This record gives sequence, C-alpha cells and structure tokens, in this order.
Amino acid sequence: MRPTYFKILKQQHPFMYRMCCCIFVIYLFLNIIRIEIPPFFLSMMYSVPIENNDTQVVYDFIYNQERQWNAPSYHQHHQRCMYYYTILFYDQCISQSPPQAADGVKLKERFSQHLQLGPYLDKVYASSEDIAAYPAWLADYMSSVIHEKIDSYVVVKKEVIIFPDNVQLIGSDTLIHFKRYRDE
Amino acid sequence: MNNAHTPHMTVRDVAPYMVLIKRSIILWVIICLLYRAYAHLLPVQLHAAPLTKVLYYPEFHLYKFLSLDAVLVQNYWGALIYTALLFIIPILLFWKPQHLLLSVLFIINNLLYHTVQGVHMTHAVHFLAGSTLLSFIFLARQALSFNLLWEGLRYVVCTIYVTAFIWKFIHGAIFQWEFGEAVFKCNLATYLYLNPSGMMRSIYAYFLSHPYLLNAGTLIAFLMEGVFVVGYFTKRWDTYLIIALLLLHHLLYIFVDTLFVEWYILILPFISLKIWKKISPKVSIGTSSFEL
Repeated sequence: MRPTYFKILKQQHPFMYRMCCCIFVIYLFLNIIRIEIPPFFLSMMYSVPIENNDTQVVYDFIYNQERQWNAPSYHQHHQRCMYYYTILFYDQCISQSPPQAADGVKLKERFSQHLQLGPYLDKVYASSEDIAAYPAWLADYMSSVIHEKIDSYVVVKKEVIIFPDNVQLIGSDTLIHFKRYRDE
Repeated sequence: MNNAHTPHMTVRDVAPYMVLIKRSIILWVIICLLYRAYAHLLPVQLHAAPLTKVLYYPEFHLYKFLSLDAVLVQNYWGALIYTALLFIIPILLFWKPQHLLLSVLFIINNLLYHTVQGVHMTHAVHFLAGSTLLSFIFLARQALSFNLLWEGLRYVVCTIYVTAFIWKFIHGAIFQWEFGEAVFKCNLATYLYLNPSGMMRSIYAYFLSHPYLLNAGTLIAFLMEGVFVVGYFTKRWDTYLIIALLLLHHLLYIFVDTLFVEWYILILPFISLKIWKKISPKVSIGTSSFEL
C-alpha cells in the first residue's frame, strides 16, 4: 500500500507537517463559522438555492444622449464587472433611508450604540459622501472603458420579463441622471 | 537522495523543473494583469473609486481601517506606484525565481490585490484566489520542500472543488432542480436584453425553451466539481481533471456569465512529470539562464 501524503510529510518534513495540520484545522474552523480570511478561500459560490424568476432587473447605461453601452464579447467580461457590481451596490445604498452603505446597515443598527463601535463602523463602511460621489466617478470610469468622453449619461433601472425569444420591458425608473458642467 | 523522490512514493519529483514551474506561474499572473489593464481594472485605472463594500470580510475591514484605499487607489500617485509594483515584483521574480524577499512580496502583492479588487468592485469576487494560492510555492526553495509543497497544492486545488460540491449539499442548491435555469436568467438578463439577435442569442433562446437542459447541465457541472475527489486517491485521472477544470470554467462563462480566466492556472499542479520533462528542454524559461 502506498504511504499517504501526510505520512510522507511527517517522515520527510516534520515542520511542514505541523504547518499543514495547523492550516487544515484553521480551514476547517473557518468553514464551520463560514468566515473567509485569505488565503483560506471558501468555495461557497452558487451553493444557495435562488428563486426562479422570469422577471429580472437590468441597469441600462445610455451615454451622450442616445448611445447604449453594450460589451457582450468574451474578452469584455472583466470590463463589464466593475459597472455591473458597483451599480447594483449603488442602487442598494440609495434605496436605504437615508442613503447609506447597504452592507453595513444591519451591523450599525446592532452595534453602533451598544459597543461604542460607531467611529470604527463609520470608518470602514462607505460614507454618504462616497455614495454621492459615485455618479461623477462613473462618468469618468466609463469614459475610460468606452474610450469616449462622456458629458452626460443616464442609468435606467429596467424591469424585464425574459421569454425564450424576446425580453419584454414592463417598467423603468431613472436611477442616475448625470450631466457634466463645462468647468467640471 | 531523499526517499520522497523515489518512484514508488506518491510525491512526484518536480524539483528539477522548479524554475520552469515558478516562471510559468509568474507568466500567467503577468498575462492576467495585462488582461486586467485592458479591462481597466488596475488600481490606477479605477479613477479613485469612491464606493467601497466591506461586508463582513476581515481583510476588507482591515484594508479600510488602515485607510489603504486612500493610499493605493484614491491617491493618483499612490495608485500609480502600486500598479507599477504589481508588474515590477513579478517581473523581478521571473528574473530571480528563487529570491526570498521577492517571493514574499509576490505573495503579499497577490493577497493585497485580491482585497483591493473586492473592496472597490463592491463584490467579493474570487478571480485572484487561484494565483494567490499557487504563489505560496515560491516559499519552497529546496528540492524536498518544493516537491512536498507542490504536491500539497495539488490537494488544495482538489479541496477547492470538492468543498464547492459539498457546500451545494449543505446550502441545498443541488436539491433545487430549477437552479440552473434560475441562475441563467438572473446572470444573463442584461445580455439577453441588450442583444436581441446573434448566434449566442439563438443558442440561449434554445436553452430557455428547453430549461431541463440548463438544469441537467448544472447538475453535471456540480458533479464535475465533485469528481475532483478522485484526485485525493490517484494521479491517473489528472488529465481528465485538467479537462474538467477548464470545461467547468468555460461552461460557467457561457451559462452564468462569470469568467474565471485567472483560475486556469490551477491546472499546473495536475500536469504530470512526463509533460514537465517534455516541455523543459523546449523552453528557455525553465533554465536558470536568466539568473545572475
């Protein structure tokens, strides 16, 4: 019978064996408490059931009056990421009342008064100024991605129903209406 | 010679190809950085991104608590220098792959860039997890430790996919028959809305008309993750595991619109000794000719 990897490790390199045992215990513990601390990456992506919904939301980016941004190619995947993820998070933030970092709302409600963690939470979570600065930043960032100066743009949040052969628009709402002033 | 090198043992003697393996990792990291430059994702290209998301990730909290975002992304010169270092460190390490300080800096670079990317993309993406994990091989500079660590990293890669499979049981995605169709509609809604015609649109229309294909395909993809369990017991299937890994990520891109191109590097620990032996004389990056 072949010796196992751990047996070889123990015989050949006791230090590395002890390190491996520690790493294994830490990894197991982090999996149990479900907290990821790199380089202990947890592979939980796409493991939670989601609702099978025909109605979906898309964020349409229309710049310089009438041009619709679309980057559908294989090699453009990473170009799409920054816009798709940040616009979704921005929408979640401004949906709060008052607008605030959507990822910190629950934690702030729970701990800010009781444990005097307010200053820490204010420091690590995005501020209302950060959220307010997003539309102007998006204009600059998308200008770089599209390689065209963007003077104005709108982001329209559209509710659509997906059919096999077409997508039907059932509602829309302007999320951002940005216009750059001449001296900006 | 240490008996970890003898053929009857389970640990492969890859130490003669140490430089080639290390340079292959660096090369892929540099290629991925160039792709990220094209995609405008390098720190200096983020235009001092103001919006950040830390959720409950400890390293994201630490990054914000230390105000590293103000230095590495939101300050132009800081972002420029940091972006330059993202390239300079791997290039120097490519030149001297056994250099300890550069190796440590390379690991820190990978860990930090993973954090920077997640915080400013406002989503805990794992694009850089593969290269971050493999970068730990640079800590091994002796033949024995290199062989053992490289073997260990092969088991780590198997664990990534096996645990992904197990989590689908624990959280229940594997028991939801419509999971594939649900994820497909959610992730491809924008593509379907913006692209009403074309070849891919016709293919997607076919799958939307036959959702059982999407659901069955998803189950097969889950099984492709689970199949990595054989990697714990034998290396005879390693070629198939390489195919499974590449196929899985291509299917994820086509049907879930998530491209883990950086993860292709994870095929390296499954490459057999025979292949390294074959490649080695044909490429100059495997020799130490670059070193002073």
